[in-house]
Amino acid sequence: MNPFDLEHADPWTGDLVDVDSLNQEASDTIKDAVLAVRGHSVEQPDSLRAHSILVLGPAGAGKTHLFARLRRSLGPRAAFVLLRPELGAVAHPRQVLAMTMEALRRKVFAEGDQRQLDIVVGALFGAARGGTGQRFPHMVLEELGNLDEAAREEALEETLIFIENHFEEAELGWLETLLRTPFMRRPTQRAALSWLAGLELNARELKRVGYTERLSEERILPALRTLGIIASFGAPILLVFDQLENLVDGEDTTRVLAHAHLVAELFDTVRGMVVVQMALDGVWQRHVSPALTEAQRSRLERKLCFTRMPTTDERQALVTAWAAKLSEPEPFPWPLSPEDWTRIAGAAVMTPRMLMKACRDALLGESEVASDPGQHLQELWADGLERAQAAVERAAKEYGGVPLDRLASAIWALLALTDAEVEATSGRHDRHQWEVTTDEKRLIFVLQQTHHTSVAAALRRAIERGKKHPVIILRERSMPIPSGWKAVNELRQEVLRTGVWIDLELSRVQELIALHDFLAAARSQDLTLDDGTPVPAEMVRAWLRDEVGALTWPLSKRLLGQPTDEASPPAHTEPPLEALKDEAPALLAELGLASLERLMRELRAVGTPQSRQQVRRSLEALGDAVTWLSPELVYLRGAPR
Amino acid sequence: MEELVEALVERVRGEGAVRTAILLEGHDEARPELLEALARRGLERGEKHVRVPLGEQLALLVSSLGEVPEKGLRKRLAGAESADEVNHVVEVAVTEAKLTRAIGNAGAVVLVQAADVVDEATTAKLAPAVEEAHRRLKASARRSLPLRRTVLELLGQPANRDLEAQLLARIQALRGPLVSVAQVVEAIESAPLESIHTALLELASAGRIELRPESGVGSLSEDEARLCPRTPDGVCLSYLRPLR
Repeated sequence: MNPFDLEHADPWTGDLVDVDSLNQEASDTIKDAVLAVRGHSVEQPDSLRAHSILVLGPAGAGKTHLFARLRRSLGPRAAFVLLRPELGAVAHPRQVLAMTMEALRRKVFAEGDQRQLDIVVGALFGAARGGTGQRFPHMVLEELGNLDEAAREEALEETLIFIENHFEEAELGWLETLLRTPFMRRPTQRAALSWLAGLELNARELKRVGYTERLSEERILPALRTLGIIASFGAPILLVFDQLENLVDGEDTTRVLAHAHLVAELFDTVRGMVVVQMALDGVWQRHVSPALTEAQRSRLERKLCFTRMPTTDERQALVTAWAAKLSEPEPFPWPLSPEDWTRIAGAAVMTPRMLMKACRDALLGESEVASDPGQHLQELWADGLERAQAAVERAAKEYGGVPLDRLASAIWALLALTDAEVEATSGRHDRHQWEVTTDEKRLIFVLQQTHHTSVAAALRRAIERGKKHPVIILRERSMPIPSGWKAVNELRQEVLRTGVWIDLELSRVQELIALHDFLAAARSQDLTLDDGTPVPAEMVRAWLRDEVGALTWPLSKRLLGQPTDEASPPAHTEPPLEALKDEAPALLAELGLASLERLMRELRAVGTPQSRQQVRRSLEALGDAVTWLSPELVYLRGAPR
Repeated sequence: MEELVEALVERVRGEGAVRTAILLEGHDEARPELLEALARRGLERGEKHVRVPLGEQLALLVSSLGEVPEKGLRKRLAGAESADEVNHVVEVAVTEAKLTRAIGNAGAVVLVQAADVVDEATTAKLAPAVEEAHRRLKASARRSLPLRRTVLELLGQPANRDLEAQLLARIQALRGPLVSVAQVVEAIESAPLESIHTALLELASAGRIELRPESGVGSLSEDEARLCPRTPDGVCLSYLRPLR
């Protein structure tokens, strides 16, 4: 691993290069809050309360790194949840519940097989049986798993009574389903966890878990309250809102206030939860804090921590720790020259990210550092597309497709790049319908629902609204409408009479997600040039328009009502089988979407290294079967996956 | 009882330390209550003395004398009963960054306030500068006098203490954990912008403030940006955090 390539902290990484004294105050404050909550339920259930901590700092000062550090130091003693605001979307409790339940499915340690959920549930069972619940929760679960059904039911009953006796606000129906999940068969467990997360299930999944509809709106907050309480026995929920600068929307304070309302509600009513907010200090000071009411400020800014610049000693410790990760490190100040180090040691301001960039540049040498901002953005974009590919594939595996909120936000991000006037027309929370006005008004509906009644209801709304304006429906192709959904299919035909139905290809969804995350990163100043300075968000927007050509994508044209060559989704062109026998095409056939860099890396790893030109030439031989999303990024259509 | 405690506190504060047996003479029965009351009033109890806490005495000594040699410190602290407890007090003050060790004028190790030492970053900058200045002075001795800017600028101009004091007062008046640099700078009318920027950087080097890079989403106006100092790489330093 080259630590100098990890310019942006991966919050979930287990391989962390850290200098403990750096930002110790912030990490200790959060850690103390978690440990104060942990076990409090057993000793003094009545005085269990939530904690709210705000961490402010400039870009690259180590806010996200704090999350990874706390994961390492607290391990199974906390359940970690990371939320980043979606552009254009409004924060709401259902989203928090969904993200929290998704995070609970994550493993505590990458190398182990314990999930955060197992710790939470095991600790509660343990506490109900008379222990503190903190010791060996996984063994408690294992023991329960070995019991016969009657004995397990009895333990479950006891646990529910224990909670009912101490916490009258607990939602026992929701809790009962949660407590049963560890002992369910895998498909049932998956459906149950989706239901507990407040997600929509299809009819088959609902039947599997014995419900008739998704978790209703009025049960969402009680479910969160219950989760806060039960997690406090072993692994309190550490809910981290990161990159909150993305809430700022010009003069419009709607999203800031929605977030403030949500956090205040969590702080007031979800006992046992530790809520941490992280944001750029300047943005919070200038745009967020002044928009809050006094009551909100007293909750959101209750405990304020700042990330701070590393001292000279800490700068030295960081360089030494990073260098030690390389295979043949040389003595300090390597990879910096003594002159570089003198300049860096004396600099008034030096964030860890600036320092890392300086080390990387020194290691690579002047000639290999991309000096052209366009080229640099191109590389970052290629990385972003790869991350989006992984995220979309994970979502397809877990939920059948990208969640509605996420896809809707991505569409919003694309629309916001255009000159069109875009206005959300749906309810306060579910922003997945817009009026888009260019030369005329169009209505855009993101239809990512999974249950046939929800799909039908959304289509009816679209038909009703479509009487006045043209309607465009967007749905992921990987979530086809089954032929058995008769009513939905009839409604679809009705929509098609006057409107447009767009099935989004996998590659399109990946591009949209990458575009959303790229814009969000730009607003958080997480896209930096080779000299370490953040790329201005406006420059990124222009680059996406001009260089990536986001506005000339067939999807963009169709959303804006412009003529496009693609009247209907293109038929898949099968790649010539003969060509797939070459190493690079065969590898691309496995990956679907990849950068040239990645292909070269993979080929090197299997002992068949090829130059960039060789790889490019063998892929170009595939003709129309491949699409070059950028000079560095290629997608193989119809790849056998 | 209250009056008695008041009188005892006054006596200890006046003398720095008083032997416990002498201080409480004639009050044997009330001894536990009195000792507790004296502790509540911020006095420290040693094995044989009741005293003004050693840490407090040390801080007062350093602030009034500027620098205090570490050697022989025990004799200067009233009621200090062992070298170990003096060493402990010194280590606590150094660990908490209240005091720091420095090389005094006589070349011995002295204790001073943390703000009074040249910090590591400046020291790192000074070392090569001193070497360069030395080279130029040597060359000038052989040929002609050195240019002012070639030597004095290398070693740095003496700090403008008045300006720094004005800036600190303004920062304190603006309050808050994070202060806008533009708001601080625009209130100082008596000095050129360049000097203000230099003074801000000096305050940052001395550990009085922490300058922070701009992290807004293009929301700093041109006027505000002009008032802010920049790093050599051009990063605008738009906020500061008072440190103490």
